[in-house]
Amino acid sequence: MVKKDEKQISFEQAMTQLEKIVSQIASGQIGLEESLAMYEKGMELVQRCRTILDRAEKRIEMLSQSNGGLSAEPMNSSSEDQDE
Amino acid sequence: MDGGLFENLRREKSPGRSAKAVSKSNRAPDEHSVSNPVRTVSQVNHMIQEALSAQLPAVLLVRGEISNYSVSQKGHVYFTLKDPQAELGCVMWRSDAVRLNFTPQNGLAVIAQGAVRIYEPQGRIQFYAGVLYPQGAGALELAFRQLCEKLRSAGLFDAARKRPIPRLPGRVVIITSPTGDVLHDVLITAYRRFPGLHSMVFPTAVQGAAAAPQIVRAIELVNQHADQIGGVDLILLVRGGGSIEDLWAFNEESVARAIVQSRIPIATGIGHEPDVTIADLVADLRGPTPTGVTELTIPDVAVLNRELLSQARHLSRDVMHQTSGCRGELKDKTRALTDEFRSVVFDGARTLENFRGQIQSIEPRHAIAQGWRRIETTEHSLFSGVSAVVGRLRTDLATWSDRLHAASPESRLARADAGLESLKAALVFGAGTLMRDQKHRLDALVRNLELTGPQAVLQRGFTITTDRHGAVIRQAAQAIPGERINTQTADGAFASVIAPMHKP
Repeated sequence: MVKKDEKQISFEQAMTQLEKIVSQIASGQIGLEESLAMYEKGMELVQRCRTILDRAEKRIEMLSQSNGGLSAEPMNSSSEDQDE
Repeated sequence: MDGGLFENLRREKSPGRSAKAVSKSNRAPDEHSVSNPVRTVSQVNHMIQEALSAQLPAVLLVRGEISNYSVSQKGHVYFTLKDPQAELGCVMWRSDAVRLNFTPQNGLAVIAQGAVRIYEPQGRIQFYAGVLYPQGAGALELAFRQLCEKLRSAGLFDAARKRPIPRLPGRVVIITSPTGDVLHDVLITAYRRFPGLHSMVFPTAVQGAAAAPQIVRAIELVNQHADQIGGVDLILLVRGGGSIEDLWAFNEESVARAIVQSRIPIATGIGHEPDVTIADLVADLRGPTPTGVTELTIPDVAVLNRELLSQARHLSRDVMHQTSGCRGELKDKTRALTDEFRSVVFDGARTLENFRGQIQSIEPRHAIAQGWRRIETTEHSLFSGVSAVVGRLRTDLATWSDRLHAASPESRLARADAGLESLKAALVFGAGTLMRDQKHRLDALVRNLELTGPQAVLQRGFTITTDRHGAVIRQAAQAIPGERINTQTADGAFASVIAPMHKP
């Protein structure tokens, strides 16, 4: 069973929130206090996105049916020697 | 005529005679023969039916070209199947015809599956087709076009129903053949762009009759059990190049429906760039090739990182800009506030001075009236005092005059006269001095009064402030912001409204 980072938002959500923050601040219609809070939040989102992008653990699995559901087995060779 | 069939009958029923020999002779046939009785038409047709059932396979597959195609009112389909040498009449019942996923046409090559039977009432041998399989590229293309139209008018190709592909799919299921180069190329391309990708391969056949059911099953299972494998952001359905027959599984209606039903977005990359299958048309995204669709769906993280950096820069720049703008504003506002504060303090101080300078217990009219009364009283007492003295002096003079008159010697008279004169002079002088003194006293009093009276105070610049009832405002607490007040100066008065106060 594979666990997902449920507490952390996805890349898609983070980028969408970040774009909203950037455009709101650029519009110049936000007060200074709110701007600073949003800036902090924006930087957090940038960090979250970078963490996801910089992930380097390559993970390839083969799926098969089992017990009425699915199971995943890691492919033991690297992707370079996939041909059988 | 089917020679083989009648050959068997001849051998069984009439060993000695040939049918030809009988027709050429003029002798009438033996109607009462036991070995070869005369039969009725119905009987013969029935015999043919039985022979057909016995001799031919129950299910036959026949390849031929369709001609004389027609559909009856009831929906039954009639056509002729032919090859270069022969033809065979066919019928397909409406219940079987509606299950066709293409409309047969004259000239179409097909394989018909069914049985040969005789329609006994009319002695007509026909092929009763249960299924038709379109053959050859022409037929397949026709089937493709027809299914396209059907699904298009059902709205399955509409852009509006397509699901968005996540910007960065972190978990991808690849449905494809586990052998061959396609999977290898897709993985290489994907991991070059996003090293952190988590990919899962669901192996299926990608051509032949087994392919479509396996692909449908794969899509269904992945949707059903996505949670078991940690969630799935995207399904990639890919296969390499091939002919229209090779790719045919991706034109099956079952596969198209499975793609439409999928909750998880599906991107397809099937064959080469010009190959377009129905799966491509219903997919949420189509790539020209397996590698192409991988590039379209898996972004290059280097590019994304640059975009992120750019967003972060914009953010910093805009916030700094706003901060410095606010700093400037704050400076200006502080200055304005300080100025305002200063002026209010000064005004307050001055007002305070005014309040403090007021004479505590004096009511102006009362004070003035009091002053005048004092002046009048003083005047009165002054004059009454002088009159009293003058009266007394007159009385004394009269007494003296009488006494003098009673004594009467002339010298004494002369002396008395002189004495009277000097007395008169003294009287006049004294009265004058007295008067002057009293006048000085009066003047001094008046001056004193003037100096300490309210007018002097007013002259010095202090003012007397009364509220709208006319009561004097002595304390700051009496001053209610917004109330109308009257201010009296030395030479007049003016009205004003109390401003909000700054308590020191």
